[in-house]
This record gives sequence, C-alpha cells and structure tokens, in this order.
Amino acid sequence: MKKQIRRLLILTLAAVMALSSLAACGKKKKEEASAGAQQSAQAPGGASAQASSDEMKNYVYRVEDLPVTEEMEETSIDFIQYVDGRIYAAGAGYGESPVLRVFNFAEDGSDLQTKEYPLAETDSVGHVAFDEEGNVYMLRIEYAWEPYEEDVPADGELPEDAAGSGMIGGADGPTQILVTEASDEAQTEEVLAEETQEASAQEAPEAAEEVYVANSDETTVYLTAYGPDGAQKYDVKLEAEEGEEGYYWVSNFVCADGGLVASNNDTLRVYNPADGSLIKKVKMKEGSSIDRVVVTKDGTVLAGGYSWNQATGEGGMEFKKLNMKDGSFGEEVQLPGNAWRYNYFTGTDYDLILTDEIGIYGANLGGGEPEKLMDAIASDIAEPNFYRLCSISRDRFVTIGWDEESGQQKISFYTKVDPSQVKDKVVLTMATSYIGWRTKRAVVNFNKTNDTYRININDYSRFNTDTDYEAGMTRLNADLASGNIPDLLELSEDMPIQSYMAKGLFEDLTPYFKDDAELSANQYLTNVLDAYNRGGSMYQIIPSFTVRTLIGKTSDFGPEPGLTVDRLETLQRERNIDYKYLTGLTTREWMLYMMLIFGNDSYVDWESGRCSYDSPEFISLLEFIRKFPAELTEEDYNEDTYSFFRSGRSLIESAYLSSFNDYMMERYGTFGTDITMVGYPNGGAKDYSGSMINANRRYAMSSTSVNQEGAWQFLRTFLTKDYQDQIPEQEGAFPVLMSTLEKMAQDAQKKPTYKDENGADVEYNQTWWVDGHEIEIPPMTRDEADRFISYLKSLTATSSYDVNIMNIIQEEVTPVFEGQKPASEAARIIQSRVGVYINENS
Amino acid sequence: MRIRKGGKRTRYQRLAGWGFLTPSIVGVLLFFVAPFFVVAYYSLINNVIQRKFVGFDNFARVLKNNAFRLAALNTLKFSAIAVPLAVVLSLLLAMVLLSRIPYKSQFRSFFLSPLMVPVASVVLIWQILFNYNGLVNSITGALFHLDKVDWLKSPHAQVAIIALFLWKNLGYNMILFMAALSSVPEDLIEVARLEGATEFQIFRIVKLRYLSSTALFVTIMSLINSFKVFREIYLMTGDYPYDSLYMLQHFMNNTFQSLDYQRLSSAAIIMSAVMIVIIGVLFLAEDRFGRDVDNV
Repeated sequence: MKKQIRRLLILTLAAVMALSSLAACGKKKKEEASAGAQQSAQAPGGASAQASSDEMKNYVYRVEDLPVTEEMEETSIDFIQYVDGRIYAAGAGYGESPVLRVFNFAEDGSDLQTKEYPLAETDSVGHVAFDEEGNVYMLRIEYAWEPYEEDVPADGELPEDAAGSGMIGGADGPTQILVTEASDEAQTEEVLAEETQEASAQEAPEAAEEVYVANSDETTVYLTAYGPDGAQKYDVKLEAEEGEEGYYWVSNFVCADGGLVASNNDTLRVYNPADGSLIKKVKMKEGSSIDRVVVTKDGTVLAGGYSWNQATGEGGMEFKKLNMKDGSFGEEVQLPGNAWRYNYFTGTDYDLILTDEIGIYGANLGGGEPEKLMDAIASDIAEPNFYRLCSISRDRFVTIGWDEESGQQKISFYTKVDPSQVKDKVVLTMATSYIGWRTKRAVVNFNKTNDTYRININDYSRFNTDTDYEAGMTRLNADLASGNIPDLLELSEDMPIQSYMAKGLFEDLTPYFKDDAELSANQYLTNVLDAYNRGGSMYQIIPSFTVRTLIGKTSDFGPEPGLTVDRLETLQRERNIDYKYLTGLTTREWMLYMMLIFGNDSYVDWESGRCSYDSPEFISLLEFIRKFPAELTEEDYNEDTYSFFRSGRSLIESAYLSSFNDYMMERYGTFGTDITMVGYPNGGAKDYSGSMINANRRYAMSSTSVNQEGAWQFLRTFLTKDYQDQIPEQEGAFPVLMSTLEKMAQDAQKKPTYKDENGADVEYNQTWWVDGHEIEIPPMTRDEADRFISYLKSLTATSSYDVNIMNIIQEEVTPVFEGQKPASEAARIIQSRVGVYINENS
Repeated sequence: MRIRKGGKRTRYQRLAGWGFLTPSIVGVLLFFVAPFFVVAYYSLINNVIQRKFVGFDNFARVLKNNAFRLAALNTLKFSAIAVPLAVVLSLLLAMVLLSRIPYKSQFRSFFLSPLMVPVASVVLIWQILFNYNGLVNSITGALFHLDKVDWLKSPHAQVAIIALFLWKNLGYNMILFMAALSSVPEDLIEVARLEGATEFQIFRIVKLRYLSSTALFVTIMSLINSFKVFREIYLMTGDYPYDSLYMLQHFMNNTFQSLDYQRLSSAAIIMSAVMIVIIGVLFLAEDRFGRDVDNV
C-alpha cells in the first residue's frame, strides 16, 4: 500500500513537473507581462494603485497667467529660460517693424521688463538663449524670398497655415512660405474657404494672393549677441561647411558653460560666446542624427537623437554627454522615460524636468523612472501647454502657452497647491492606452462640476519605450489579469475588447441607462450602439462615429449596396481602366489594407467559428489586388485624381463620411451624379452592406468598480443632449442622439454662412474645384437628408483591425504578389491558419 | 555517518536530513505544487475578476472548443508516431553501435551532434530544407518532376517536424540505451547462447527485460520532448501555424496571451490528467516486464 502511495505521488509530481516544464517554454511577451504586473503595482499612479484622493492631491498645481501686455500681444514668444533668479522669454515681435522682443521678470511675475532688438524685414528669429551675465544670443535667419512657383511643394498643395507664414520640411531644411493677401476680396475668399474648410490647393495659386517662397540655398543664418545694455556685440554669419550642402538649419541652440551649442543634422557646433567664432565641431556616429539638445541642472550638455544600426536593422534614441573641454562625445547616457514621449528641460531640483501631455516630472540621470510632480487632470487643466517650459523649483514652473478660447499667447506660472487645501473627493481611475484631448476635456469638465467624484486618468502609453511601443498595452493587460482593475476604460482598437467582454470585465450599462430618466427619454441610433455590444447587453458607450465605405456612381453599381470584385473587374475590362486609378490612386499594399480592414468581417463568422478565406470570392479578391501596382511614380502623385471619378477614369472612392456635407461633396463634387454607398466587397455574404461604423471613442465601466454610481455619472455625460449637440462642430463626426442628427440634417439643408464685419450672418454658395472648374455644392434636399439618415440607421458592421488575421494574410499573400505562389494556394493556407485562430477565439 | 545499532537514525540525523531536504521541498511546493493548485482553482471559477465558482463549465468549454480538440489530436498524433519511433530507432542504433562495426566513435559523435546545435540554427536549417523554394522541393522537382509543396504549411507538415524531432533526440536516447545494453550481464547471454537461444530470443527474453527501466525513462523523456517540439514549430511558423502543426502548447500560449486563464487552466488540468494516465500505464508496463529483473 505504502509503495502504491509512493508511486502515485511520484506519478503526480512527474506530471506536474512535465507540465511546468512545458509552461516554461512561453514567449518573451509572457515574461514581460508578468514582470509588468509586478512593476505596475509599484509604479506611481499605476492603475493598480487605484490612486487615492490623497495621492492625487500631491499633484495639484494652480495656474496663474502673467498679465498680457500690448507688446506680448504682438510677439510670438517661442523661447523661455530661467537665469539667475529671473525668467527670460523671447520671440519675434511683429509690430510696425520686426524686432526680437525679450521679456524678463522676477520669479513671482513682478518687475516685468521688455527690451527690443531691431530686425530687418527679411529676418526671422531662429533661436534665442541667455546667459547669467545678461547677454542675449540669437540665431538670426535671413531669408531670400522668391515668387511662388506651383511645383515647389511636391504635391502642389500649400500647408494648412499658408495664410501667414510657415515652414515646410525639405531635404535641405525647411522652406519658408509667405502668403500676402492682396485685397479685401481675397480676404473674403479666404474667410469663405475657412468656413467651408475648402482651403484647397486649387485656390492657393490664384492671382488674388501673392505667394513667396524662401530660397533655401540663399538663406543665411547669423549668430548675433547683445550685451546687458542692449548693444549689439557681434553678428557673425554661420556657414554650412564644405560638403554640407544647403541651408544651415539649426534644430537646437543652448547656452552652456564653455560655449553656445548648436545642432545641425548629425553635428554639434560649439561657438565662443565672446565673439561668435566656432570653437569645436562634434559629429555623432554615422547613421545618427541630433534631435534634442538639453542642459542639465549642473550644466552638462546632452545631445540625443535617433540612431539606426543598418546591420541589425534596429534603432532607438541615444543620448550622449558632450565634453565641452575636448569637444568629444562621452558615453551614452540612459535618460529616464521614453524619449519620444517626453520633452526635456533643464531642472533646478532635478537634473532634468520632463513633460508630457498630462504632467510634469522630475528626473535625475541614471535615476530610474521619472518622479511625477504635477498632474494636469488632478489640477483640472484640460489642455496644458508643456512644450516650452522653465523650472524655478520643483514646486513652480513657467510655461508659454495659448488661451483656449482666445488663442492668445500667454505666459503662465504653475505653482504647487498645498495638498491640505485640496478638496476631498472619491477618486475613480480611468485607464487608457492613449489619452486623447476629447477624453481629457470630458474628464476635466466632470472633475470641475462633480462635487463627489473625480476621475484620474492612467495613460498607459507612458510605459511604452523607444523599442517597445506595445509595452503600455502589455502592462494594462497584466494589470487587468492580476486584478488591478480601473473603474473606467477608454477602449481602443489595440485592446482585446471581445476578450474583455467575454471575461466579464465590463459592467452591463443597460440598467443604468433604463433608470436614467433623462437618457431613456431620448432616441438614439440604436444600430450604432448595438454594433459595439453583444448579447443584448450595453457594455460600451459610443459618443460619436464616422463611416467608412466605397462610393460609386449609381449608374455603374445600381442603387443597392453590395459590391463584388467581379463587378469591378467587369467594369475595368469594359472601360480599360488602369488598376492604379480604379479607386482613385491606389497601391497594392493600400488596397490590401483597405479590403482587409473594412471588408474582413464578411469572411469571418465569429459566432460559428468559421471563416471562408478559401472561397472563390477571396481568391478573386487576391487576384484582383495583385493587379494593382506595388509602387506609384512621382508622376502618378502629380495627377489630379479628384477629377477621375467624374470622367470615369476611376470607378469607386474609398470615402470617410463624418457629416451630411461629406455626402454632398461626394454626390455633387467628386462624382457629379447620383451615387451609391456600395461598401467594401462583401465576399458573397448576405445582408452585408459593406459600409463600416467607426466609433470615434468607446468607454466602458468595470464590473468590479466599487464606485459604479460615480462611473455612470461620468459615462452618461457622453449621451446627454448638451454633449451630443457639440459633437458635429467639435469632433466632426456623427452623434448617436437622433435629435442632434436631425439638427445636422436641417443645417445641411441651408446654405453655409459667414459673419460679416457687423456680425451678421451672410449666406454664400459652397463650391468645390474639380479639374480647374468651380462646382457649386447645393444645400441638401429633405429627401436626400432622409435617405442619408436611413443609410446611417441601416449600418450594422464595424471596421475591425484584427492584428493576428492581418499578419497571417499579409505573410501569406506576399509570395502571391511576387508571383511565386498561386492565389488559391495562399488562400488554402490562410483558411487553415486563420481558421485555427478563429476557432481558438470563438 | 554514525548510525545507531538496529539501523535507527538519531534525532539529529533526522533533523539534518530534513534540513537538507527543506530547500528542495520548499522549491517544489512553491514553484510546482502551489501553482498547480492555483491552476486547479482557476479552472473552477468564471474569471479572475469576479471569481465565481462555476464547477466544470470551463472544462466543458475547453472540450467543446474546436481549436483545443485539433491541438489535442495533433499532439496525440505526433506523440503516437514520434515517441515509439524515437525509442525503437535509438535502440536499434544503440545495438548497431555496440556491434562490431568500424567507425563506431565517429557514428556516435554524428548522432550526438544535433544536441549541440542551437534551436535557432535547427530552425533555420529546416526552413531552408522545407521552404516553398527550399532544398527538398528543388530535389523532388528535379528528380521526380513533382509540384512544389509548402511542406510546413501543408497536411504533410508533421512529417518535417517528426524528422526534426528524431534528428534532435535519437542521439541522446541512443546513449542511454547503449549504457543499459552494456549493463546486461554477459554470463546470462552466454548461458542463453549455450542453451541454443537465437539472437532474437536473447534480445527479447534477456536484454529487453534489463532494458525495461531505461526504455521507460527514454519513453517518458521522449514524451516530454514531443510536447516541447512546440518551440521549434513556433519559431518556424509562429502563433498560428497550419492546422496540422497546431499543438496543445500553441493553444496554451495563445490562450495565455488573450488572458483567458480559465480556459488555459482547464486545458492544463485535462492535459495533466492525460499525462498521469499515460505515465501510469508506462509505470505499470515497466512494473510488469521489469519486475523479475528488479528482484535479481
């Protein structure tokens, strides 16, 4: 008996150990996931921490703006520096004559002094730095202006900020564009263009505007120094050296002990502050560039940039210390945090101050994770400006920003609030893989108005590293798996949402919705809400959405949706259309991407666990995509393909509909005839329109939240009439509230207006330029509006990006596109591999 | 070591014994037994968030899952073919190398060399061989004018993996069998020969009896290694291979990746139950065939 027991024990242990040995073969990601779970528990502000009210109080700062003076209103302040107890801010002044304007003031904002240094009309301020002796160093850019030629920008389009002046990147540095408005008429035209969001390429080269472009070969840069008394000390021309063709473009400029440091591509140059002469020139290793230059608290100059190793095919941000004595780079320095995420500034209590979109952090070199000092959400600031900042102490910072309403530039002090002065509230945590401005604004509004609850956002993208862009997502999943669940989640496509729902992570919001007297009385687009939920339960809140579809002429495709590859091929053959123009201007890769993202649902049935990638339709689709060109030529890109849909050189357009006006632009502008939203090829599936709902944002409540009432109070705001009514204007998307949608439809039936000088609304005709002709876009008719609303109500499919299916298909179709394998063979393999995946997950 | 009369150990000796054993026991309990019970617990709850007891629902879900059934069938098929082949072929090789043939040492080194080749290299070699544009297709095309086959993405994919498994494991098994064969008492073999037994009878009745415990060990090791062939398959074909190469470890890894711990735990428990049965059967077989040798 004893022997039998022993045998049984040995048997069991052997089995357990065998299983354990199998488990040890896991992938690296798993190890990272479990490591992430452990680290996350320790991370400040991690979801697991369920940041308490007390913790959040430590990150609250008060914002006070420096009164804006008349000079400030006329200055584009781009540089700020803390020097010896005073703050210096500078920028180009654009009053009667151009100047460099420097403001300096005490730490408390008092004793504001302004100095001006004259500039020529052709000058621009490149960079400004200050030293402790009160000297001002400026990189002055002298532009050589030339009349605009149509082919200067490669795509024939002006940049968005073409009215005024702006920069265009180019191989030899940026190209400066200056647009002068010749007359009042032109000004009116511009207003119209802004109103209709039609500041398109066709209008830009019109005679009404005189456009000048800076000739980069003739543009010169000077290092100019002014003494404390305001007198110019020197003005030295900086030249690109032999072998470095083109404009000497300086991307960074700092004042450090031992010299003025400027970076250009892969080279640092150190100039003598006494006379502007070049002292040293230091090159980064081959394949590296210098993107950032920052001075630490102790005066050490750090230069960092993207480094690419051709041999290994790997790259990442590398920072190196600059040895000012011998002009060499020292060892690589590991900077805290993700270099792509953070802006770096000189610290006072820390080596460096880091900022991202939601906070300010202190960090020391080699000191591990940055220490959070300030949290914008905790401080009720929706849109902080942390791109230009200087640190006075760990409790006080100065930034250059813009007023949200007026757009006026301003200088702001951020001062830490005594935690005991911060009101106690119940803190809810919202996890997100990336924090968008809409979510931030909604959270801040909620925090400001709700007396009981406040929401803290845990943005997991801060865990992403230079080499692992999915580290944040891995950590979020690890947190969820280990039970560190936030109260709320902002969902994104990179999350395994189906899996979350299946695991019961989300609370069914149906009872909350039904019990809400205000919301339950409203009418919503239930097809949109249902499309993202399952089993009759409401797990997600969808505030707004857009639509992706393929559009063609009704005369070509008939009035009903449901596109097939056969129909496209037939029309292509009949009209002898070049494949690259079939859908506008499309490469093979883009076509595959489009068809898989927006048409994939028709080949997969998750409910039954079946797929049909070996169907004749899918094989035809692969053959069809194979006929598209792998690459396009420069001439292709210069084609005005907008006109192709009218003329019949293109058959269908991949469209993104976010307003009634988008439909009208397609109908009357792009196609000029009746159109049908035919949708993406349906793979033979029945009742599949092929048009996709694309939720702008999605939110869910955790089923384990102990503050579900508070979480609902936040979620419900997205469905209220007040919020929904703002969506068309603020988000450029369709609301889910019927009354708001109806309001959009009514507005679409009116002509657009602009305000005249008396503030009165003046109607104008909306126009669209096609092939050099101005085409009027009429207001929508009631019938058109009703048909479009019916179309929106008929949508049921959602665009889905399943990375695993995409990877399998892309891997298997490459040999097909290269002519090494028949499409049927690839389809057979895709069917097998995707079939396994679907079976596993259904 | 001082032992008291009557063979009884002193209290000090017992304590010392436990002292030496404790680290191992703690390690096994902490890293093997405790996780096993955690896995058993996870298999009986609805999810790690709500933790509601659901009985055997997770097991039913796993058993109904087509992917699990496919993985189990493929693993069973692979093990059923690869493990006996690994045992029989290595035994044959051991016998051949113990016979009087020239270059025995070189052959031994040849069969052991795969153990020294890193997995990444093995995978690379197999990809070169069995790729759609690989060596095997070039040879079969040139010699027999056969159409190209994407071996690792076809119903024949297991053939390539079985070949890899045997190539990798035969050498180690062979050494074990050579050691076991060397320990068979020569006098017994001589007596058998004197009594007129044929070589096959000597092998079946004498040698095989002495080899039973080694054969059991080799079988268990091969069985475990047959599960671990996932590593090579994964490196060659990724998370979601052609369905004939989809193994239980794929199911486990992918399920872990999707955070479905309940399904993962249930599958692990089912797998361990099957393993216990298989290993139990092997023990019984060894017990039956090797009992008389143990008693010698």
